[in-house]
Amino acid sequence: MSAPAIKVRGAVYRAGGRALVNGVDLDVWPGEILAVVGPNGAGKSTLCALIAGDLRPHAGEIEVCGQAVSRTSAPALARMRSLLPQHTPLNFPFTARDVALMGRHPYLRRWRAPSERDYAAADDALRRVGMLDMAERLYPTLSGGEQRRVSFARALAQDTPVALFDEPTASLDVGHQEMAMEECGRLAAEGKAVLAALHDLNLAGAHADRVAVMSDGEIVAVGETREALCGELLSAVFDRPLIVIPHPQTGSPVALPAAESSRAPLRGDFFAPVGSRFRGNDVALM
Amino acid sequence: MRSRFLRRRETQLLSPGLFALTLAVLFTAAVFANVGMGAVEIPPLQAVAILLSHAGVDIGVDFDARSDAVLWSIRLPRVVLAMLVGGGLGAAGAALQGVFRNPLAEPAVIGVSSGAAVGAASAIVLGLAVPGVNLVALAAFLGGLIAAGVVYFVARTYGRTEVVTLVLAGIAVNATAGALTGLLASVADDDELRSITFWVLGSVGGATWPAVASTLPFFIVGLIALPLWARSLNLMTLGDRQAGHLGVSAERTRAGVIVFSALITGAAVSVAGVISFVGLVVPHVVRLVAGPDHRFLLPASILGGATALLLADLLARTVAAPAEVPLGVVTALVGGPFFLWLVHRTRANWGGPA
Repeated sequence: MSAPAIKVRGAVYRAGGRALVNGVDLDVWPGEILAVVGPNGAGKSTLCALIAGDLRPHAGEIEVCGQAVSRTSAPALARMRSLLPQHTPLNFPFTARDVALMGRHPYLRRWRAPSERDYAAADDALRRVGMLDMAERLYPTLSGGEQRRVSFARALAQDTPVALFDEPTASLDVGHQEMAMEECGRLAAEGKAVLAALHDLNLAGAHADRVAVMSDGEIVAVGETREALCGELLSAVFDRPLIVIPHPQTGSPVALPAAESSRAPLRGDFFAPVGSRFRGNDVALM
Repeated sequence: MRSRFLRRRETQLLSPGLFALTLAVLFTAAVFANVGMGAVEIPPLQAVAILLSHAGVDIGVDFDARSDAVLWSIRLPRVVLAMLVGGGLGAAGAALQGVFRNPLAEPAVIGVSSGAAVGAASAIVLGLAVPGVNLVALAAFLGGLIAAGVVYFVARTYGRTEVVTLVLAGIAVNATAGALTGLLASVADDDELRSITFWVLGSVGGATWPAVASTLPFFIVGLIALPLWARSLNLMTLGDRQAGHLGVSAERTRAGVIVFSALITGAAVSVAGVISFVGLVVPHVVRLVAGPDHRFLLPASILGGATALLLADLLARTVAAPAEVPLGVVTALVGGPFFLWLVHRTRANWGGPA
């Protein structure tokens, strides 16, 4: 446990004349969930893509499991890190089990069919996301949330020491959001390093060990969840008055839009479901 | 493990094993129908006796010398060529649909077919001749490879290939190649025009053993190479990025599949002209019956493509006997409406764009 599983130093990535990731330093340790939060376009997904090795940084160093990502082969990387991207479009009628089983590819020997162990790992992953009874359903016929859970299972089946999740709770209902975050917690308890880019501050507050707050491609704060999720900082980053209060039962930080005007936020609260990216004020101000 | 692979799932119409067996039976029947039917009837048993006699085995069934000559010198090369071209187009279609993640891809999409037709037409009209070389076939082959190369390199920017760009580039190259073929046809004399028509409409009627032998290596290399990418193609359906996360280089897979598909299609067009819809329809039917797993899809598309083209050729030479309908006309005439029905029905069942 003496070395970070993910080590990012001075990472810079530019596109379209803008630095999407601008000099990021970050460590993620085995056994912890680090949540990366920040507004749309803050660079969370780009950071995930850099760590995964999808994109090459224009400057800086990125290591996963002590290996420089840019100098590690694709098959070796596939056994070190998994990534759940935001979208998994699939035009072919693979079943949910087929897709989960694809997560076992890094461990398959050439010319060998998946073993019963691989099938067991895929089924275990499907069971964890509550999709085992739909394992033979065709992926393109599943609902958005179900497809998402199958992709989640695919990432779980990959069983890597570093797990990257880009918006793991997007398009999931509140129950499955909790399920997804609990699975992240289980991975961390097994000694894996989990990095999750999250829009939902309250899920980060309830489940992350540490939080990194990103804004305009930079990490503006990183620390223990209760310290990093501070109302003043979040209000500045999201450009919206926010207050952070302790959860009445668990004491974990809960971020809420501050009451700022007389017409806030009865209508907004009515329209904003739990876990929505749009907080009450967005709706109230429309 | 094997049982997992061959067991029928609820989403498959037939188990892969049963489907493979059905295909094999259909294929064998098609071979015997093709060698047996025509002006000279040759029953299956005689056909077997003739074939074995060429291998030096006598099974005691009588046949006359005329049947021997018709089968060995006329029908068999034609059957072998139809098998190779059909199997090759089926495999190339299945593999290209996989790398484009688009069930509407086929060899024509990357411009090989139309480029090869331009090559053939140029050689015919320019009247170039080198003794001992089938220059028209060679030009068709080169034309196909050049067109595929142009499409691929135009679409490839910054070391990545965008699928939509690739399809758009294919459309542009196809349009240009079609215009060039039309231009060449308009300056051709009557004899040349007949030859050009042969290439544009497609036929395996010109099959001879030397023609089969000259293209056999390309088919063998291509048909062995493409199925080796089966597992990578499965992962590529998740998208380039996720294939990469699972350890598969999408760019390398795509380049390899395109090169070998162009090789197969170029070789096919160089001997048989442009034969449409086999590469598109056959993988669809296989996917519909047995699912999208490329480990099964690629070999089954080879067998299915060979069977489909054998049956199409049987139709082409018997339906208006003694005249022949161009093979490409048969495949498009049967394949087009069939594909329409297929698209309609698949859309309803899978809920996807396929």
